[in-house]
Amino acid sequence: MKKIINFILLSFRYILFLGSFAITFFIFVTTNKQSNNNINSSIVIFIPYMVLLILFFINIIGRQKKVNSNIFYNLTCCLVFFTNMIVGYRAIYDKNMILNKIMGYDINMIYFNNYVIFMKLLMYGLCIGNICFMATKREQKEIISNKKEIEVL
Amino acid sequence: MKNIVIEYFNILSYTITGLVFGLASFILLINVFHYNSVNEIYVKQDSDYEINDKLKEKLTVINSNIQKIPSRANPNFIDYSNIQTKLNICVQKINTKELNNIFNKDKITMSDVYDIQQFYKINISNECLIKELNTLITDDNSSLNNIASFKTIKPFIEDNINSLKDSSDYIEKVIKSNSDYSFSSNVVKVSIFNGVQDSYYELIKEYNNAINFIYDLSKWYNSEVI
Repeated sequence: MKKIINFILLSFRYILFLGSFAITFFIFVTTNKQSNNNINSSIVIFIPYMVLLILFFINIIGRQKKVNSNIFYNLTCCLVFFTNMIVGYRAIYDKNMILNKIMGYDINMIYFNNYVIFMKLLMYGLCIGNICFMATKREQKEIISNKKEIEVL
Repeated sequence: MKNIVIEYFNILSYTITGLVFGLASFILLINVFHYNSVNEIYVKQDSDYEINDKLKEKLTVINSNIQKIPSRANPNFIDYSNIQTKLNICVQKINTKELNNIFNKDKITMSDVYDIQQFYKINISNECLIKELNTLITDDNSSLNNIASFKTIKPFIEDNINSLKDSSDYIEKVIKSNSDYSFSSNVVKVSIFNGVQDSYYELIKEYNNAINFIYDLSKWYNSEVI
């Protein structure tokens, strides 16, 4: 049962990560295009996404079970990416937020900008959590190998 | 020593993940409540329809009052014609299809409240009160000042225009700030400003005040031009 739940959460983790990145990218590209700004000025927002992507690759390639089989960590990742998507969706489609109508490019950028600081906090938190879990895993491996050595002796 | 470090790393990883989980849950829940507040629909009551019908009636009466053409024999014929033209323009700007749509709506959302406020600001405040009626009182050398009854009501006109022209600005600011998480429209919270319902009531009050003012002015015009 645990394995099934973990598999579902792990799959959703990657799907929601892509969805969250896509919606954030769309919002920044659209608003920069409308206001004739260079997208390079918003590249700082995507750094936590890049870091997380690298860490996820390491998790997959290194087959790190401590991270990939951690239900709590996978659930937290899903929650964070889902929250990102909800906020992005509301910034685009919630027309009852009047700034959406007034701003002229159909995206409530002020509402989304207020959330960006929280988004960075959450994403960097996930990165640190991932690294800490990876470090724990490596150390646990050493404990198990040490225990085996003692048993042999 | 190594085991202690490993344990600390374990605790740290779960703590950080737990904090991230808590913050994400908080933000998600606050968005759910904010979504409910912003997307609240106010269903009009019978009393609202009565107020709307009275406003429509008043507009009809204003229209009929200002149809009287002043007599050419009247020494102030030009001045009265000028007033009649300005009141006519006012009624044309206000009594539009857009106003009918506002009055005929059964359910009011935040977006509708904004449209109602913008109609007041553009059509009633700017086009009627400031562009037309305010010009009656700003020129001290105007021949209108020779009409004794106009001189009497001039302070009344001035006070009303001054109080009506900016009266919806506060509501506009409240409506525009509804992207803030502190915005509240929950009907249960009777002690807190209910964003949709109270904004709508305030705006209808301003509509009432503005139309009453124009009604009084048209009544005065009607009494003068016999």
